[in-house]
Amino acid sequence: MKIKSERNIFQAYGAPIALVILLLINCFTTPNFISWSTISNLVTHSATVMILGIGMTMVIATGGINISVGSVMAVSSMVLAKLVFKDHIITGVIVCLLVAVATGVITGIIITVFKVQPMITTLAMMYALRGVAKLLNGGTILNYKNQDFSNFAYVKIAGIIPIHFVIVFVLAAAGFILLRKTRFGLYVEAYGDNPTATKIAGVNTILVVTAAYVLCNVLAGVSGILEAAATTCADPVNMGLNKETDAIAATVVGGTPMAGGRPNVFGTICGALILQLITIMINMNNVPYSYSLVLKALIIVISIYAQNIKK
Amino acid sequence: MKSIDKIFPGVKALKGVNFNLKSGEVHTLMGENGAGKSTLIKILTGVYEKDGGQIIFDGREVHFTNTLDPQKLGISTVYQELNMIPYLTVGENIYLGRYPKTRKGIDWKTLHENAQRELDDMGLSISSRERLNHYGTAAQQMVSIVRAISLHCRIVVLDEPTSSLDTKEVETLFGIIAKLKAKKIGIIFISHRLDEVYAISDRITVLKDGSYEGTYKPAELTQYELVRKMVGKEIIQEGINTRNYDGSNKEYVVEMEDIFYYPKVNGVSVAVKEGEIVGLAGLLGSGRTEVAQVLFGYAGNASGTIKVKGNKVKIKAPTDALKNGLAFVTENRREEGVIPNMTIRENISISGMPQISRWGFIQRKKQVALAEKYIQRLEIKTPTMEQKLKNLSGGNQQKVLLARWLATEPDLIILDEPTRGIDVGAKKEVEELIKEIAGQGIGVLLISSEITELVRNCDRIFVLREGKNQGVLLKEDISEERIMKQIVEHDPVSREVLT
Amino acid sequence: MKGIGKHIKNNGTVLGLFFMMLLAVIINRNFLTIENLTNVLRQASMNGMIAIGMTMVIICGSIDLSVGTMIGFSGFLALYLSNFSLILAIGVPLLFGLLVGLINAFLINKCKVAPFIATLSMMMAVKGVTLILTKENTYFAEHPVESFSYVGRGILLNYITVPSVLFVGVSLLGAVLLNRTAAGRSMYAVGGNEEAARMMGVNVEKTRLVAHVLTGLMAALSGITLVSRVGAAYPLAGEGKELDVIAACVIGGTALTGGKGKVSGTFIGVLIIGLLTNIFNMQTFLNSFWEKVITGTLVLVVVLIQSIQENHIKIYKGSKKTASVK
Repeated sequence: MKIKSERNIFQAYGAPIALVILLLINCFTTPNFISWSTISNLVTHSATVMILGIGMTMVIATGGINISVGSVMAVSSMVLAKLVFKDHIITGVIVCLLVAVATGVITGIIITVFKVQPMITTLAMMYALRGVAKLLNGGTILNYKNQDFSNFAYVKIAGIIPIHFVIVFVLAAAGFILLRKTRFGLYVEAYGDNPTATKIAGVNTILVVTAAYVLCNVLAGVSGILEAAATTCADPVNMGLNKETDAIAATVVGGTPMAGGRPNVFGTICGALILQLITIMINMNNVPYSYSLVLKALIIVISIYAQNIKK
Repeated sequence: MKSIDKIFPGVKALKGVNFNLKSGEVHTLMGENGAGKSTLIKILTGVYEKDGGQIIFDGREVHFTNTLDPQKLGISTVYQELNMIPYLTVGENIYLGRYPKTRKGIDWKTLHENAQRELDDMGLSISSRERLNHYGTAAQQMVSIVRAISLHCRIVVLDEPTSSLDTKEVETLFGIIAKLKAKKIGIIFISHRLDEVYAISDRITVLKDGSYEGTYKPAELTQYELVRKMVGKEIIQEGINTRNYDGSNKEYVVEMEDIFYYPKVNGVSVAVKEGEIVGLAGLLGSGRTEVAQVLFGYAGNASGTIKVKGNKVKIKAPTDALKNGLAFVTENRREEGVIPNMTIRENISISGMPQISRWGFIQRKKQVALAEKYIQRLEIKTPTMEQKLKNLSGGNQQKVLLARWLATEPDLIILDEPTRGIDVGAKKEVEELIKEIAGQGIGVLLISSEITELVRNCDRIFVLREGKNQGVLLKEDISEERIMKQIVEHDPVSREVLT
Repeated sequence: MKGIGKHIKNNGTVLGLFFMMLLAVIINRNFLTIENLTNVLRQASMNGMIAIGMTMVIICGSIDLSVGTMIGFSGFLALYLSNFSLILAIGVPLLFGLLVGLINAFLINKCKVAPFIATLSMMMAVKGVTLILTKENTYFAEHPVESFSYVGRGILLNYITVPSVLFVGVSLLGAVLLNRTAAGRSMYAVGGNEEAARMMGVNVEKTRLVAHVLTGLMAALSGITLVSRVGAAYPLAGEGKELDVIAACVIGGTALTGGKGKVSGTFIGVLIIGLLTNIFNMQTFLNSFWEKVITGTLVLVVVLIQSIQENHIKIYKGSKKTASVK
């Protein structure tokens, strides 16, 4: 018997390869592209989508979807801002993450126990949580006026590496380890691949799937913290708006199949970078931003198409 | 249909099978799993294309290349899993695609009137205007038949129509079949319930392992003969159990009493001792698989008591079963066992995670060692343990699933059709393994439709028929004849004899 | 007793609507004035038209996320072309609506891209094109044909607005299509059980294509009506509307699993959401941000009830009606 590499190459390595190609093209065509500030921009601007993407990868690997992450960001950052406003930074961060956990538990239970479709459950959560976020401060932007906290997003390690690098790296590594090296990760992949067999294999599938939604929402909470720190305020209306679309796009481009199974965290990170790179590229070449959307849409369709062939 | 051949990669599924059907006749097709019944039906209904032979319809040879061709000729099929649209009304399901129209579009009034007339003609108390999924399986099947009639069909194929019906519903169905016969429609009937087959059939054709075994009139063939033709082996290989199991001073691992699981299990009791191989015998639909599902917490609302090692336990989900030291290799390998895109290593270790992980982290070395141990012990043929499971042959996939459950170090392992769909060599290996497993003191509950397989391996056999215990055989009493006799016997023995 | 229960089950959305009206009357004494009611219907009709198309797409078991950005796109096209002729201003956007529907169906049927992702990409692409064309600014027509504004602002018989007429008309046509034509019934069959539908001779791909094309057309029509009333084309006008539309369908009893749903249900769903907005605009004691919370909760309650009913049926199979020979 031969060892067949059944796995579609595009699914496993398509995103990193595409990223490298895009980077190379840019090195030659885009003026001033090769500079530290470009790379630093690339990462800081895509940090939110990368972090959301890690969570989305888990959820999509179970065969679900979560379109409420943007609203979760808004709610948790509002809670955070409220507490930071009163100078409780640590409490703020903890409570903010607890709120994210709570939303994840609710979402997960509705999906697993009551068997409501993930798409519609998270749609409802998206509405409800956006509303709650607005209620928390009468729908207006909350400036928390806390220098200590807002400085945090501008910390540069060794004077040059933005803190975003560290956070994204740590979370991506954690996500990778969680999905590849732990029981949980194995269960998630197995559930996405064959839910019935996984259940019969004695896996507590309700717990596993709920946990995936909880983690996804916690990561949304983390991006909320990061954005709130960077902008020195929490905006209940625009915080995380439409970010779910970007996160889903990054995940799908990264090679995690929408039908569930094989999570690809590294691919998702590359996917998020590709999408951001397109924006930057378009920007630096003085092409209007709008063209990047059309380009992104094309990239999504092409990548899915490439992943679908050979099956 | 004359000398039909069908070849699947590696297997010759049908070898020169003959089948003919007269108008207004009920012709039953019998055979165990893998005998080729469904393959033959799928060729007739255009799902598969035949590799050899002829199909002659009304004296003309016909070729079917898709599922619509046979329908145009008037061959309709009522499948086991219902092939209708659940949220639409009964009437619409009957007339889907052939709506009566007026200038204002679909004429619902006429449609429902016509449908209701068809339903009434069949003597059914089904309302045309009710949504299809308001009715149970039986009624949905009847609707499916009415659709076939309204299509002016000549042949109706009933693929195990009675498998999920209760007695009263079966009577209704037979009433319909009688009316179909009166309309000169030919019926191909598939069922595993002997009484039904004898009650309704004009002729019976038996298939075994893809071969044609003959066509008989029910009066010419006793039930015993029929069962023998279906499951008996001409050459009985090492017909007797060579194990010398003595259960007199062994404890019971599992005792199940009075298990009810609507509609297929109606009060079954089964018990297994440690190190014992217990067989569940019975035809398809006798409730043998369902008993296993109940034991493993995979069935819905079941009742009855289950004791594990003498303690009464509640098993509501497979996780509970796992905690109680049970293991279950199901009969639907593809749907319920194989996780296709994951590696052999991962597939083997998924159920035994607690043993090989610490703080939730998989200990890679232990995982690899575990996989290696079972790949060697079960002689799983694969170049590497990183191979995806879907790339393995059926027999090796089965061994991987066996390994998955052995890795949990169970007290009892349920094997439902462990040798189905795997080749002869692998079959023998699996049987040897079963004996080895039992030798280690693990109780084995073996379910198989091949009676010879049970005879070869079991220390005790419970015979089931239509969801009830028929009897129990201990080692020296076990023989093909006795099992088959019990299957066809009518009065179930009282429960006291069982324990 | 059982009859009553069944009635409530089948007409839950109607009850919901009555409840909302009652609430509206209590909260706002001016609710039952003709001006206000006209307003509610007109405001609801933008989403309403799309919701009728979306109902068909969802009944087919698919989804269309591109309708929101289509509003902005077709709105711009319409307003730009209104400088030249009324026929162009209406015809060309509709043509593009049809085209987008075709592309969606192509991606889903031929490229086998999941409907969610296919239409998500389409949503991004359409948004991008709109922004390119409008140069990311709100567009005002220089000298539009006068008759163009009639589409959005026209009033018949003193009180009936043209958008409401369009909405009601589209709903009636949608209902006729779904209930009285083979094409409409095929949608139910495809969403209910795709394999069975194929076996029964339904052209699954064509059915899906029809639903997506109609939805694209509806989105374009909605966009035309919007700019005609507002007189300006804001490129992001319809962003996020796709979710409002889906929510209206769900509240109206359309199941996202496919095969189940009614135009009348969606019509009421649209009105319920419209009333909710109206109530919140007309009262002072509850913060208007509660509106989103309530919409979300409403969607959740509806799907929870649906899910419990479905699973109930599954658990107690024995309680289903059985057939018997008379």
